[in-house]
Amino acid sequence: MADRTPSPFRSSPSRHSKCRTAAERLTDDLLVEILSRVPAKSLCRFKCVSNHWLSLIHHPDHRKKLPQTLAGFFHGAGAITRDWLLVSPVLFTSVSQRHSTPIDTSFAFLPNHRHIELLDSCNSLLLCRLHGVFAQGDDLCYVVWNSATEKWVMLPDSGQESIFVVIARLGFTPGISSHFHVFLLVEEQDQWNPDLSGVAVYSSETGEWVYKENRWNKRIKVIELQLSSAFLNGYLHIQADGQDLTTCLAVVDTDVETWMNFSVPGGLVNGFIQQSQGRLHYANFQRDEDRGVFRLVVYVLENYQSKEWILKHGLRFIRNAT
Amino acid sequence: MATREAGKKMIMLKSPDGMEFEVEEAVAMESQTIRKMIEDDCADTAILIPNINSKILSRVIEYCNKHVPTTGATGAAASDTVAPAALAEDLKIWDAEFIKVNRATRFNLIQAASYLNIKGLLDLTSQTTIDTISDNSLEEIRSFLSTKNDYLPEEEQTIRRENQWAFQ
Repeated sequence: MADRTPSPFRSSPSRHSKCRTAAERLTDDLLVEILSRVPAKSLCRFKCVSNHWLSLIHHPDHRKKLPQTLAGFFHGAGAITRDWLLVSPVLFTSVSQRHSTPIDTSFAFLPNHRHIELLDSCNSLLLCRLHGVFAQGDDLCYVVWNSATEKWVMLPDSGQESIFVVIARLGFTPGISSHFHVFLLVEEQDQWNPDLSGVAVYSSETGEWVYKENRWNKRIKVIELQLSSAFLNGYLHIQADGQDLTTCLAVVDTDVETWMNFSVPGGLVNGFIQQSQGRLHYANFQRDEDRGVFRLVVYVLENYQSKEWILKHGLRFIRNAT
Repeated sequence: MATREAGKKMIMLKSPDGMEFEVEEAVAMESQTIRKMIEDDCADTAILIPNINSKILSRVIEYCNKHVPTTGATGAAASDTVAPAALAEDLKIWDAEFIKVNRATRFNLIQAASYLNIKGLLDLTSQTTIDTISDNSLEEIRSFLSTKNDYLPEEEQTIRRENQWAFQ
């Protein structure tokens, strides 16, 4: 954007000074009132107008009024030690070097607990497992909260033994519904190499858990460390291993009624799924037949009926010999 | 301005430059600030509206007059004769004409709408302002809203880099 183009707003000096006086009477509250109506992208551009505007936009009092963009990332300390459950703190890294939004990572607003495990986030809500909650008799429980408002909900007991819960995921689409869902993927008991046995889903609307046994038409395993998942269209999508160890996507809806599994594009393994612009995307690296040439490929799922993936982007990397 | 009808309670609004405007109570109550004063019995026969000159106050009253039948107590009667959708469309066209004012008047209207707490007018004036500036360069925005660029050159460079995506 060129900032040096002649302004269409310049006018005769007397009119200009009159406008200036009127503009100067726009208090900070009124400026925030005006700014609350811009889309998030424009607001980010407006941060560059002046230091004053930046501090207005970042002020905690105005945060709830203004559209929000990514503030930063919650993450663990990185090192997994034997007693990591007790020592690993949750950290927050802001995306901005200046005026970073203050985020409370001690989570003092949550019920008194010994340790917190962050499990998932979805459209501004976070899901965690609290260990050693005083009120729950040193047990663990699931809590969903909103970091901006610090409002939280403790979920009732899921009836699932925690050691058999492989993955817990959160589903929340604010534009569609004010309710959220929590998915627990439960694996078979007494197996040395267990498959998924079923899925338990909590609905904040009913306040209840519903558990159903696996209705995917093949045996599905998930490997926690490689897990890639995405929630959209009311479905939780997880990247999993099928029976023959080929990568597949396992899909289940919030009512635990619709179960689907289908292959990822091109027989690739260990890719990455995520939602973008309301569509499911799959990204991975692919080696061309030409040796030494890698391509970053991004596919988009055409629809759930045909389960067809369309190549959206392909970016070539030339491997550097050094 | 609405003609005075028998039985309708009137309120006198006074601007600081000494002008007096007699308006129906329902019209004046489009302003939540005035509504509160009336409901709390703080309003006798006249209410002084500070900081809003007669020119702006008359425009605000014009807005409230136009908007009162659809949202006020007489709303039910009005929508019996005209379809609500057509009425809303008519108001939209009227609003678009109403807001064709110079920059100083618009800023004064924002200030008045905020002070008098008239949500519709605040939405209209703020949204029009945003629509005017959203596609303009930073320099134009600064000039339009009389804001100085108070960044040090290196600060500006950092903030521009962090928000580069928003310029594309």
